[in-house]
Amino acid sequence: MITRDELAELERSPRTRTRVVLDRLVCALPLAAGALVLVQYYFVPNHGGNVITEQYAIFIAFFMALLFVALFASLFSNAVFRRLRFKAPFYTLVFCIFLGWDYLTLKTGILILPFFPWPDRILNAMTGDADMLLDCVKNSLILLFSGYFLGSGAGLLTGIACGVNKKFDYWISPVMKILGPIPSVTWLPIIVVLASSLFSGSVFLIALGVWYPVTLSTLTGISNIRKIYFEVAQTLGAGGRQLIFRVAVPSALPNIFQGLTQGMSVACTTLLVAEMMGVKSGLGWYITWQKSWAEFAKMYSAIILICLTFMVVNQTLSLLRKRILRWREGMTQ
Amino acid sequence: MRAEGGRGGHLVMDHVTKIFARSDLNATTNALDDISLDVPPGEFVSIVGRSGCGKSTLLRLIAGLDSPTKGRLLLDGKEIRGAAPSRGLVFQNPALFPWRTIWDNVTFGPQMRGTYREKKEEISQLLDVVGLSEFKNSYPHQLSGGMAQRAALIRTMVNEPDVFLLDEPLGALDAFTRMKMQDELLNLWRQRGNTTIMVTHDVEEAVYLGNCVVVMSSRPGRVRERIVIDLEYPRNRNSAGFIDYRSHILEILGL
Repeated sequence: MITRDELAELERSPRTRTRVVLDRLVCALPLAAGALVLVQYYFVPNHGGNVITEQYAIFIAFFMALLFVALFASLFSNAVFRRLRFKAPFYTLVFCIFLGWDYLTLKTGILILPFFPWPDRILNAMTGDADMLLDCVKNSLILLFSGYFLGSGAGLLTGIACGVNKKFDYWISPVMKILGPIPSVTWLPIIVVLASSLFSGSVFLIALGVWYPVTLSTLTGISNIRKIYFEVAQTLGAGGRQLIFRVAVPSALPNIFQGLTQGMSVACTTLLVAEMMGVKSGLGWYITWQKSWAEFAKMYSAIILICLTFMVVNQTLSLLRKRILRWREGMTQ
Repeated sequence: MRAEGGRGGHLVMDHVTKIFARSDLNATTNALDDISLDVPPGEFVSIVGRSGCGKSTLLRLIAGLDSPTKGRLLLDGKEIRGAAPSRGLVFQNPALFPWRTIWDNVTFGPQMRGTYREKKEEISQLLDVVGLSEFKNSYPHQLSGGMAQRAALIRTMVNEPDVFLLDEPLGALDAFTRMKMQDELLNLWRQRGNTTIMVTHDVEEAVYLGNCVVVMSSRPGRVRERIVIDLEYPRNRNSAGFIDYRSHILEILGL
């Protein structure tokens, strides 16, 4: 037996010599772009009184080192080579963006302070205020997940209840149709007055925002199940709860995950709005607070952290989904 | 002749009529009209008839998925109400649960009924017999049609139903797989002795497998004739007796 990689190698159409050389060059391109960033940073004179630190250079050098290791490994491993060849143009673009950013701000002052700090300034703001920022990330995540779990749990329950019980559906459906489409942040002014604390109020808002898409998708998933699965399960001896939890829910899972993903993006939006409008902690609050002091570098660093945090959260969710929906791999949909 | 096991149930259909409401207009369709059949324990009955003669409806009534409009169905003297694992139905398409592996599909019944531990060994062996052991951990969409149908057969079989209902289970298979599956089906039946009722389009298949063949007429579905097949198992498709039965049945069907 041969491995999948060997098979791909055997069946691939032959490549010309120039093509091979060109591919290797493309792999080295990001490194060249990175070097260019450093050269500009140190050797092109700064605009006005702009000062620079080492941090940015270390930051760029770190990624260049990673790329260098990958480039070295690609000489020996085909898998690494293919991956690097695929990603290299994109990495090159990223370095070029840094190059342009430095040029427009630090070097020429075409985009001016305080609104447009250069990357080095943002990095310094981030490391300088690290403790506070990490605390904000922690608070944001606590709020996000409290609301998210509450909302998705409630959504699953309502969705399943409506999906399997007609009477429940009769009473809940109209409520959903009326209240569901209203973005949950609309309720913020009322929540601020009514809730015992801003935290619990925000948890409620996020939960409300998540609840709607999760309920809807669970309900859709359950009502789309082919009748035959229930019939098969019944003739095999399943009844009552088993029909719900062993047939209805698992077969609705693809839909449920759609709702959970959608719910996560609603939760993230609601979280930021809540933090910017009322809650006195978290990244959203940090942004408004720093903006009021015209500390734009700090503001940007919080935005970058938001981006990273949400990326990790969404990545985790999609990994979870892939794992649970493994049975759909290779299925034609 | 009967199967050796003799664990089958005694099925009686007593003047069964089924009328369906039609969705397109305010009218009804008479699917089954006054069906009376007595199936002794352990017998293999093949039902043939043109499409629309209510064969599948009959199976659904026995399975308890639909209720008769008039008449009664009795299993071992008790009236049939609702689906139960004592009446196992194998559908025309395998209808395996796509989210479960083959192993989890075939053990679904025992898992639901809490007999998984006792049945594990036996199910493993059954999978071996039909050549599916290798695919235990595969998902249904990774299997060929024949393999999926075998898995569906096993899934119902492991529940040891008193009545085994087969709704054209081999209809979608190619000729070779089909003949092989017929033999497998026959072996399983002879080992276990479930009362078996199989609906089919294929007259040859009906004669090859059944103790008796019930020929049905269409619209409304009625029992036209019940023919006892007096041939030893395994049957030879080319013997004179076999061919006589086949031509006779085709004649009744007007072919």
